[in-house]
Parts: sequence; structure tokens; C-alpha cells
Amino acid sequence: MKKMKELGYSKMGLIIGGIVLFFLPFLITNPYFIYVVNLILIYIILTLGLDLLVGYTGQVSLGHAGLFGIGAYSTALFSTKLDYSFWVTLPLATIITTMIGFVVGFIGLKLVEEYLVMATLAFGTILWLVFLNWSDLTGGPMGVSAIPAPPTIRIGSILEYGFNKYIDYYPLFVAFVLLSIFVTRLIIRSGFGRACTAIRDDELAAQAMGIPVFKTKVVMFTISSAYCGVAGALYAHFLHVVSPETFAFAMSVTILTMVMIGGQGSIIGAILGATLLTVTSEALRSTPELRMMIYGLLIILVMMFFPRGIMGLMHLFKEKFIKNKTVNTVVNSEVKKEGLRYE
Amino acid sequence: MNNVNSDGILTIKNLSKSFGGIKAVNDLSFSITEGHIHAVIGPNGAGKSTVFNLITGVFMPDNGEVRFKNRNITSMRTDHVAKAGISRTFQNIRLFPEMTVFETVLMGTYLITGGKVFPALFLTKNFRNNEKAAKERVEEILHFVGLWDMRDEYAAKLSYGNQRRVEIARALAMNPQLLLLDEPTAGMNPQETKELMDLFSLVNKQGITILIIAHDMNLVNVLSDQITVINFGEKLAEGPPKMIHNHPAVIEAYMGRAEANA
Repeated sequence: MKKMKELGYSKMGLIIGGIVLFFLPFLITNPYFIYVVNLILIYIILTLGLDLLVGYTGQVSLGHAGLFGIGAYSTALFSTKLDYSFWVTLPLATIITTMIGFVVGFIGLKLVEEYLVMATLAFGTILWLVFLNWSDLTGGPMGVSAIPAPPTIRIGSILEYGFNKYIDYYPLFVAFVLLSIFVTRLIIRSGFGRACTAIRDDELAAQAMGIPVFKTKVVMFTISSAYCGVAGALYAHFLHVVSPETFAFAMSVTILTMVMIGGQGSIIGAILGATLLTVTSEALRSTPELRMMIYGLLIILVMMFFPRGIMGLMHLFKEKFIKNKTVNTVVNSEVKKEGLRYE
Repeated sequence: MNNVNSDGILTIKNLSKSFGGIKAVNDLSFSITEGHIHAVIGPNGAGKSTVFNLITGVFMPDNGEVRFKNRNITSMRTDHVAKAGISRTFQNIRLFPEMTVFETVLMGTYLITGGKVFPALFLTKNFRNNEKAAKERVEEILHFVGLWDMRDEYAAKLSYGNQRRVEIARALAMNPQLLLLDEPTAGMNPQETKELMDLFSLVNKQGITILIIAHDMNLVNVLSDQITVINFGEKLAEGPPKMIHNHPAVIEAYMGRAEANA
């Protein structure tokens, strides 16, 4: 009973905190702040997508920047060259990214562990080179500019909602983040999601339970790509310009760092990771070379001392300060073991 | 030599597997009668676990045939073997480190829920029914193996005997027709061993055929209907426990030649 009550309070706190956080940006007039908040929301979608693959299925990809780029570039091209509206380009971009993700997953996931990482890295780099060099289509190093904002939403004469300022995008992005969280929860709580977790923890045991390992991994890779497609489309329409350097290797590392710092296999972890790293990266805007060094250092420190990221740390605190013996003693001993392995 | 009864639920014919120059399994044939508890015994390194891995498609045999319910399952992929109705436990318990007992056993219901994505996204009625059926099945099994009170504990935190129970419960969640148990009582104390043996006969009474690997003869003497003794990957003897007990080749393999003569 007591446990239920505690859970109720923490859930209520989460909801109230969420509502306060949601309305906060409306009170702040500084457009740069809103810009960063919107970026965070896009990164949250990317991180949730990669976490499904890394955290829940145990398959690491360093090519997600390429998929993010596919989403952004297809949106950009459909809306500038064919004048399609945002509401058409978004699903189109998602479908294209998902299809390419399927092909990459189908080829790449024949490999395991570090070989898969290398394959996805190579794929991401190839896509980046395509963005950079296929000048006729992608505009080369200049990229695609003048991507229109989403069209004004009109419901009769009651409502008219245009996308002019940064703040106008904010509710739209929040809606997509909520949708992503909802879909993620549905997936991880289904039999399919459980199969992925089983594969992450023990492939042989998973197979012995009738789980088709390769197929399940490919499906999860494909789902993960869909998140990249959505994020890419939102990104393109928000910034009105896409250029190849955004989707270089560094972006893949950034998304992976967000997953790891937040805590693999946790929705809240993905949100925390995306927020923390976006803020850090904006703070280090003037010194981009320093940024990558800090990311590298962060990954090493996280892997050494708290391999389950911020969420893992929170579990440790819970165990130490709220003397609830049933909480995760095993998890933490397991975490320590994993920590040793990385040392 | 190979007068194998082909009416059995599982029939192995002339199975061979070498690793490098070592013949782990050599021209092995035996058959399991439906409803029996069949034991494969032999000294360490006799090739018992390799037989399991050949049946479940973890290894491909060099030669020979495995038939399950008159269907050729030789070299079939591990998950397809599971789908056909064969479920197994591992010599070294393989549990998922971060899951509770309930979650672990729920993992075993993959074949009930099917693992489709779109029904899960749209929460179709079929999906919800399957999920409900899976959870009910887990509840039923946890009561059956006596772990219901520990359902929210982390599986890896339980005693060794109870961890084995969780693994067996997970295997049972798949609704198998044949259950393969690889050294299920290795490292257990006598009390745990006895309780597990009781559980096995209970499982068997539900109509599930059991193939059990052991190197402890006393264990299988009590439990099994039929025993196959293997050594160096070859069949030494086969028969009901009483007959095996007095078989000269078996005594030799276990005790060594000198003692057999003494």
C-alpha cells in the first residue's frame, strides 16, 4: 500500500512538473531560449528512437545522423522543389527514412556488436558524403534553404494559428514528443518489446524461447529510423535550412551520448540526456572543437563510473537514502559488474 | 545396432558432430517415447550438452537426422525448433539480469503474444486479449512451480534452486510438448534436488515429455522411464533404470575397468 502511495506521489509530481515546464516557455520572451527548447524537443525524439535500439535491444548504431539527414533532406526537397505542404512532407519523409532504415538494418544487422557499429558508421558517412556531393539535388555544401514554415492552421474563423515565431513551433513539437513517448511505451510494453529486451540480455536464451533474433532486430532498427524521419522533418521546417555538416559523424556521436548519459533503456533518461547535452552544446557554441572533446570525456566517465547514466545514478540514490531494500539491489550489483568490465 | 523406435516424439538417427578433430557426438541414435521422462547420462565431456545443442539448432550436425513428431527438424533454426514445441533450460542458468520473476517468465510467452508490432501500436482487441492470456498463463505457471509469492523479486537475486525454477517456469510458459533439461540439479543441495525432482514428475504428469541430462545416476534412477548412457559421444547402453544399473559397459564407464573386475 505504502509503495502504491509513493508511486502515486511521484507520478503526480511528474505530471505537475510537466505542466509547469510546458507553460514556462510561454512566459519567456527571449527567442534564443525558445529556439534551444525547440531543439531539445527534436533531440528528445531522436534520442527516444536511438534508445529503442541501443537501450532496449542492445544494438549500437553510429549511423543515425544519416537517417536524421534523410528525414530532413527529403522534407526540404519535397517542400522546396514540389511545394508540398508540411503535412504531406512529414509523413513522406518518415516513410522514406523508414524504408532506408529497413535496408540499412537488414544489411547491417547481419553483423554483431563492434562490426555492426562499424557498418552503421560507414553507412552514416556515405549518406553524409551524398548530401555533400550530390550538388544537383542536395545543393552540396550550401544545402537546401528557404524551406517554408508549416502552413497556417485555420478552423473556420474561430482559430488561426500560424508558424511565424519560434514559440509557434513549440506546441507542435511538444505534441510530437508526447506522441513519441506514447509510441515508445506501447512498444516496450508489448510482446515485441519484451522480445527485444530478451535479445539484449541473452540472444541464445531469447532464441530458445522462439524469438526470431534477426527479424526482431531489423524491425526495431526500422522503427528507430521512423523517429529519425519525424525529427528530421521537424528540424528542416523549423530552421528553414538544412546543410550537410549537421548530419556528419559528430551528430551520431551526439545522439548516442544523449542516450548513454541519460541512461539506456529509460524514457525519462532519454529526455534528461537530450536536454543536458543540448544545453551543454549551446553553451559551448563558440568552441565546437572543445565540444567533441567534452562529449568523448563524458562517454568515458559515464561508462566507467555509472554505465546506466543519470537514471542509474538515481536508482543508486534511491537505494541509499530511501531504505527500500526491494529496490534494485541486483541491478546495482550488476551495474557495478558492468562498470568493471568497461574499466 | 540402430534399431530405433521411430514412433517416438523425438527420434535421433545416426547423429554426428565433430569440433576440430574431436568427435563430440558419434553416430548416436535414440528415440523418446511420448509422455516419458527420458534421461541421457554419461560422464563429464561425454557429449550430452552437444546433443541438446544439436536438437535445438544451436549447432548444425555433420551427419544424421533429428525428427520431432515425425517432422524433420535437423539444422532448423533455434527459434523454429522452439516454435515446433521444444523448450529447454541451460546447464548454466541463463536468466535476464534486470527482470523480476514475473517479467522473466512473461518473456517465455513470446509464442503466445506473437511479437507483432502494429497490433501493439493500435492496441487492437486481439493484441489486448493475447497480452491478457499471456499474463494469466504466467500467473498459472508461477503458482504451479511455487514462485507466485516471489513474483516481484529480481530473478537473479533468488537462491540457486529457485533460479532454476524460474528458468523452468519460463520454459513452460512456451507451452512445450517436449522439455529439455540440461543438468537441472547441478550444484543443488539434496533438499533442492529433491524438490526439483518432484516438480519434474509433476510437469511430466501434465503430459509434457521430458528429456533430462544428468551425470548423477541416482537422480535419474528414481525419475526416468528410460535411460540412454553415452560416453565419448557414443551410445553405451539403453534401457529402463534397473537394466542400466547392472549393465557392465556402464559400470566400466563410471567406475573404470579395474573396479569393474574387482
